[in-house]
Amino acid sequence: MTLGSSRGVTKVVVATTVMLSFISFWRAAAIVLSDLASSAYYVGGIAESAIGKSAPWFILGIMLFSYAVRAIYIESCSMFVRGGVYKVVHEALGGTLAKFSVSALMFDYVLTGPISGVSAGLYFAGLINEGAEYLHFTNVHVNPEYFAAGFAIVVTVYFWRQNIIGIHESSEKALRIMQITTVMVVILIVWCLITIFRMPQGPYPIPFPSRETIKFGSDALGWIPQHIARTFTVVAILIGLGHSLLAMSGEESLAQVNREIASPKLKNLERAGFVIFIYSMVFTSLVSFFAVWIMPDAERAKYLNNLIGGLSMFLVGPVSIRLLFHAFVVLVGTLILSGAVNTAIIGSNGVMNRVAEDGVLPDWFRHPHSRFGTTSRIINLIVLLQIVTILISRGDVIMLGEAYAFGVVWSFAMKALAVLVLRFKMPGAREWKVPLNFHIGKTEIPVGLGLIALALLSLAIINVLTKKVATISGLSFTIVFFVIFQLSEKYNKRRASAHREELEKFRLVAADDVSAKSVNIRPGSVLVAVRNPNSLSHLQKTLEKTDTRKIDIAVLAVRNVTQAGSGEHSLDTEQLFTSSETELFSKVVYLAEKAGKHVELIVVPGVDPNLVGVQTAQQLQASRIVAGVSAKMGPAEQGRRVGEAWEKLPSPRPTLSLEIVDPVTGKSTYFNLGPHPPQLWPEDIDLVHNLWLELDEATKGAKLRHRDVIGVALRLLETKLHSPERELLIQEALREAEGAHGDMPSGVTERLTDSD
Amino acid sequence: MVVQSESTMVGTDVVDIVVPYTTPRLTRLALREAEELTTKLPSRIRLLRMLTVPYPLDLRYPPIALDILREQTRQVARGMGAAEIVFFLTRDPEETLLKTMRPGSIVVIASKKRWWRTAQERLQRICERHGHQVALVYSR
Repeated sequence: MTLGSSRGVTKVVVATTVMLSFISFWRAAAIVLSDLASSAYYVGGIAESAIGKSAPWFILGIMLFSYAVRAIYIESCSMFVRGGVYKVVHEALGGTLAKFSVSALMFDYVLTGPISGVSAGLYFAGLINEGAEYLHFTNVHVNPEYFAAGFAIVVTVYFWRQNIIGIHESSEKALRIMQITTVMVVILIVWCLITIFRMPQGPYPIPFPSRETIKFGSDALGWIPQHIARTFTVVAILIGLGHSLLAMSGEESLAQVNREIASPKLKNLERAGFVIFIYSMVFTSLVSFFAVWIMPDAERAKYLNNLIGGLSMFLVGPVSIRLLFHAFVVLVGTLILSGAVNTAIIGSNGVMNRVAEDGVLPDWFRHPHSRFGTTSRIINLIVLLQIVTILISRGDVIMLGEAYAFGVVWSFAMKALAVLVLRFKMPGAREWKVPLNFHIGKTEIPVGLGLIALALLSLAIINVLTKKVATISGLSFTIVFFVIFQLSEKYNKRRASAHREELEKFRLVAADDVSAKSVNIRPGSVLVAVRNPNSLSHLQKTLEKTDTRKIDIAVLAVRNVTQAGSGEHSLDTEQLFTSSETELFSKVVYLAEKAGKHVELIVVPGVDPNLVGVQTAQQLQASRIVAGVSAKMGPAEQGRRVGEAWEKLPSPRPTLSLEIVDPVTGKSTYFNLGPHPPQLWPEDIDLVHNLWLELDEATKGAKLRHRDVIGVALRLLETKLHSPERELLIQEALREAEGAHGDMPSGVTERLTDSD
Repeated sequence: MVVQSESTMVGTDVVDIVVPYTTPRLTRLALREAEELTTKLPSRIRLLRMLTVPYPLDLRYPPIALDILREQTRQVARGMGAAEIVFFLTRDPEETLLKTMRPGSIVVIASKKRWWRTAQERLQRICERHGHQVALVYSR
């Protein structure tokens, strides 16, 4: 698909796509954390109300387990650069389960907004009540739940409006919010430690989880009979973990930012994952530990809805300072939780748009707003569902949390199952694997991955059994969405059956000529010639070994035109950039994204691809041309032909090197084109040295150098070449080329072989 | 970021006058000012419109239909002499604006007069800090 193409005639097409900027692992971590860290505000209270005082241990357990879940995301991202739930489940388990996963994900998104908005409202209400009490405003008191519901609706409506208009904040804001959050977390941790140190009786104990210490709340067991939960420790532990797993909600964002992580992508993805793990573990689990250590049981029970706000009021120090810190906690909470409300609207809008594009949702939903151009119908539907959810919950964050967990755990479980299935369905096609893999014969047994998938499925099933509201609402929602998706897909069957491989959208800029400026690359670049979308190993190798911070990579496709077609009538961009180029460059973009490195894409028409290649290299002031081995000829012949093309270039001809990569062995053969210092054979170096010794002896004190010997020899050679001895000399040169040192192609001054 | 251009490339031997799109009214005002500048020095005007694509959306799928945005922008620039209208789909509009400008570009921004620092005044400071000349015009 082409965008913004010009109808004018042209000689060169420069194609660009979205993969232009890549982000550091710090920024990637900040983006994920601004979603994931928001759960620290409510998970402690929700978990404690379900399983009692030992909740912090379960939250810690979930946070440690999130490290394993992170590994699943890394493995799936190493297979698919754009590896969200839908894509991975679709590849592994087919369309039906993919639609089920998307339905669960939609439920997750629809609940993220209300739970975040209500939680922010509860923190706000807590601050108003605490402040009024401190300032002796006896008639100022708000009902936390109703206030929170109202606040959540206001925030949701605000972001609904922003999304309808299409106004969005830059990613820089996520970074700033995380910086402010970090300041708050550091102050909180230090202040809590000081408080614990100064508690005369020491911190209140936190019972380690056991059948005796886990105190299930009134709604914590759902359909599981009391005696089973009390008899089997494993069941009790699983129930406890099930009520705490909200702590890792937001991990899916890791797959969404993966596409934009800079090179080395996999390493940076691992780093981002590690930063996220450490940060969320420290923040989320420590907050719940501190709350139990510092706040007396009776007091803490009053603050389960706004645990960090309550905790700030039990720290040591003057009340006014504590109240100020409480306000800071609320400010940070409002920022991070409101951000999550917005992300939920944006994310669900994105998911719905994607499934609508796949023909799984009627096109009616995608109809753009007449004034703002946004998909207002989808946004309206999502926001309506969120507001209904807030109204039903009446500000009860615990009820929302229970329901929210349904979407979170099923998304994780389906993803883990899909990655496990892919181990057998697509063995070997990944750069990174979840550890603990054993082999029986040729069969790989993914023990680590299997255990994680099993744990997630167990948690998903235990959640179904223990959370009545979540199960009923989650299942109803998922079934409704699933049925809509199924029916829509049937309705759009013709479109869906024409499902083809995802192709990139390119913006095409027509130009009369190609130059380093017009293509926006620096001199000294590498020019990679591409032709076959299934044979790009030479590009992959170039991407691996080129540091694009220092050297740019330009990818050249030569559009073959006939001698007649290359005449005075230039071609339209559409004629130059056909579906073949789109397919070819889509693969190029995929490889570049996978490497996290930027490439420039150029299509140039021509009769002789070799000539076009060297001409483009000359115009771009490139230093190296990289090509794959031709199916029709060997590297030597290829090098010779490129050398011949180089000879046809107008002066001044550039010094270029040509690298031809064998796709099977990965070995490169190098050719140097143009004037360059020759690389001498060892026996020639010996000869030069011996001649120098002899001449040095003969010219005592003349300070003769090796290069003087070569200079004299070359001048003598030149003289002889224009003398009657010319034929003899040519025969000698041919013998040299075909003799001990192999077949040297003409037009190419040197050949070097390298195994890299 | 992704770029969409409304015209073909032009030579680089002229001064680059950049008008970042703000609001329709302020953009028109800035374009008018930019047009006056083109009469004084060999230059060409580029109208740059940044569209922030927030996470978790894929950069390829902006939240706004580009056809509508293009038409709106064309309407604003109609008869104003902008040589090129460029759309950027970006995560960070300011960073993208700075990346896309050539050294020594002249940036023309229009702003409303307020007692606080407006977004356009903030943009002016950022551009100046990065070595660009900025012409800030206030609307009446």
